Amino acid sequence: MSIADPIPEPAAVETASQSRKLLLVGNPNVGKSLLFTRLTKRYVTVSNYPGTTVELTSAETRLGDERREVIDTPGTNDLVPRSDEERVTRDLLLQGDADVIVVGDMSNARRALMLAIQVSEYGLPFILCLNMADEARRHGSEIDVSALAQRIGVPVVATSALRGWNIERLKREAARPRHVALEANYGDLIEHQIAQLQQATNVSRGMALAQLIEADGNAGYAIARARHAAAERLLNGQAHVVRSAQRGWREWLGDLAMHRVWGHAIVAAVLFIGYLFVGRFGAGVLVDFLEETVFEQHVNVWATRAVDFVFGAGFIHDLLVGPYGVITMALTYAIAIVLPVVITFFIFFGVLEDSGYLPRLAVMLHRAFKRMGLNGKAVLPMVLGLGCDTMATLTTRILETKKERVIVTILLALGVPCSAQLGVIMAMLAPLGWQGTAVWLGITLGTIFLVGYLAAKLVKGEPADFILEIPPIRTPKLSNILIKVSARAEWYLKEAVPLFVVGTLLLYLLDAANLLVRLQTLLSPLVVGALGLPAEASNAFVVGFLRRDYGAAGLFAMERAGHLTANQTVVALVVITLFIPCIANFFVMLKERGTRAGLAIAGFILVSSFAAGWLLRIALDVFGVRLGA
Amino acid sequence: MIECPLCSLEFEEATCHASCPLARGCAMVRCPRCNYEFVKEGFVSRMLSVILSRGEGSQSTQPEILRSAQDDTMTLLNAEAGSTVTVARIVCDSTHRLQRLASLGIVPGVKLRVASKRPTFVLEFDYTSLAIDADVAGEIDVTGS
Repeated sequence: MSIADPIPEPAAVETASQSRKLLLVGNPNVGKSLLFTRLTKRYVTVSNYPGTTVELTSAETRLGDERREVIDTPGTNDLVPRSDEERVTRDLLLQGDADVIVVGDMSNARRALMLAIQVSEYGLPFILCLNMADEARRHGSEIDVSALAQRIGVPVVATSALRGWNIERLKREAARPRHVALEANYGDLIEHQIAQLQQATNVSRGMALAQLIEADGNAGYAIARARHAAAERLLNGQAHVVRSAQRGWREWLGDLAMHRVWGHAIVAAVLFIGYLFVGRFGAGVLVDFLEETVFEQHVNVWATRAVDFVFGAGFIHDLLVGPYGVITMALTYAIAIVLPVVITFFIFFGVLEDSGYLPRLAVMLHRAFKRMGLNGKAVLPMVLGLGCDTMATLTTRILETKKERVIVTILLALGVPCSAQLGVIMAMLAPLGWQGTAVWLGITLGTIFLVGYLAAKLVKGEPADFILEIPPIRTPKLSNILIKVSARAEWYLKEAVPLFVVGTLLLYLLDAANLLVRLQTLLSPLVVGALGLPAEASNAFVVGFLRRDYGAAGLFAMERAGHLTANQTVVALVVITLFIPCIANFFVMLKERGTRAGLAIAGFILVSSFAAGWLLRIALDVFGVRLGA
Repeated sequence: MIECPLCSLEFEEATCHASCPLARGCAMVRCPRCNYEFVKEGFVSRMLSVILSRGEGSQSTQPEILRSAQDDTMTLLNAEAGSTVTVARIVCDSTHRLQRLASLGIVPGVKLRVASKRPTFVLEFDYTSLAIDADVAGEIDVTGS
């Protein structure tokens, strides 16, 4: 499986016989990545996600007798570079040694044509692919592609990447793209400026227009309007199906999911189903089987025997199979405890993603998010955070402004427990009854909201506009979901497992140098004095820095042994929930937000988690509340 | 950009402020072409227009003086859910937002169906559904058919 191959330097493309590259340029959510998969017969994940369309994906294909390199570019509605990804697309077009397949949704052909006009302005040969022809046929917005091809002057192919319609034909036509000038009429003033720019800098019309738009936003708007009108003329009255006219069960369900009342009921139902599938089945049934049966009874036993046999007792033995051993701790943890939760979560998440529910969830949560300086689009990383905060921190790349990326990173690290931790927390809350649960939930949500609200005021920058396209509700295809789950599981194994190993090594070294005990002594005034917990709870917080759920598990053991009262349990739970998620998340924060910002966020979280616990303890004492009594 | 509600001239800044002794804090703008004076923006006028529009049901939150000069346009905020409207113009300071809307196909002349207004605005046109924030909806002026 190949995801995110870097773009090779032109000189390095020997395998594709120095021929012109083939760029897939298209609107967002038109099935472009799946089309890429069909064209190249190589699997990539289909949605926007780190490692997929946010980075460039390339592979080879055979067009006739020729081998060509196909590059998938991020989805965009225009070629004015506003983000780094769009800049990469524009730069690829500027290199000029590429043919282009412009990909659009047949039901939204006007938008595809607006993009085609821009590609033609860059002076590149192209063909037009109107994908999702199956859906267009279903709701009667099919377009006469041969008539359109005559008007434009380039081949137009109707495809369905999902059903594999016309892929061979697309390949045939892609071998003979045409160069045409689809020029919109921008009016005398803009045309004059284009001419001046072209004369002065000797650039293509497309580049001159891009420069003009970057320099003058009002010109940009006029240009976009002119392109819209030109696309309308090319369509010649075709494709004016309004979605509201098509009312099947999918449309009905789609509307219900955004209904001001029923929408919330659906949010609750979806969360509950997620809890049953991930929390009960994944974190319960599967983890029990893998941890207790597979690892504890077999893998760890065999590994210990093998290591004993080869190395005997000593340093290597402890390193591999000791209490902080790479196999007994890191691998057991990564594969037996976290992997099943990750996989079940991503199956659930994949269903939500492919059904088109997530944008609707964004609509439902937009108002609450707006108060935290975010908008509904932040739903994706926040929901993903319930699976794995580390992975979710990486997806903050899809957010448009730096302000949003910083706020979401803080909120994820602060208060969104990953599924592994959530499992332990649920188990600890069970004996506390509804009061304890309500206090924990109220304090956690309240802290997230308060920090989000303050961050919205303090973090500099503008929030991004909430303008979000809502795709139609689709029936998810199991094969697509499984492909995506496997790509994400592979990502998890490659990215997260090495960090588990590093974390375990660190713990091993701390323990070997007797520093672990010292750290615990150092922490005890805070833990005992401020939080009112037993001294041994310090251990939980030390390991909690490596994995928040390790810490929670330690507290769980104390609770079961009767070392914690109900009040102490809730205080400890609040602190560990608001703690740094894990060392992997910490490293990713440093990587994504930079060392300074990453350290500042981590420091802030450390302080605020203990402060929240301390304040809760004082409040419980002052009001004489005795939970679980 | 400011657009004169009377003669539709678009101009950059309130040029009348440069020489006016009362310009500080003045929310009025005088069109350099037709000399028509109108409210650009101001806290009191905005509050007043909100209060006035609240009492008038489906009236616009645009300042009254703008609306009286501009026939039957209203902002999307005042369009009824389920109705079909035509975009008359987009009154917006952010060119980035304007371009973004235009690249999605929201330009003057386009017919939209207001599918819902809460929890956020959902607009339907062609085979596209678009959710937008109320802040953006407030900048899209539409006519009622």
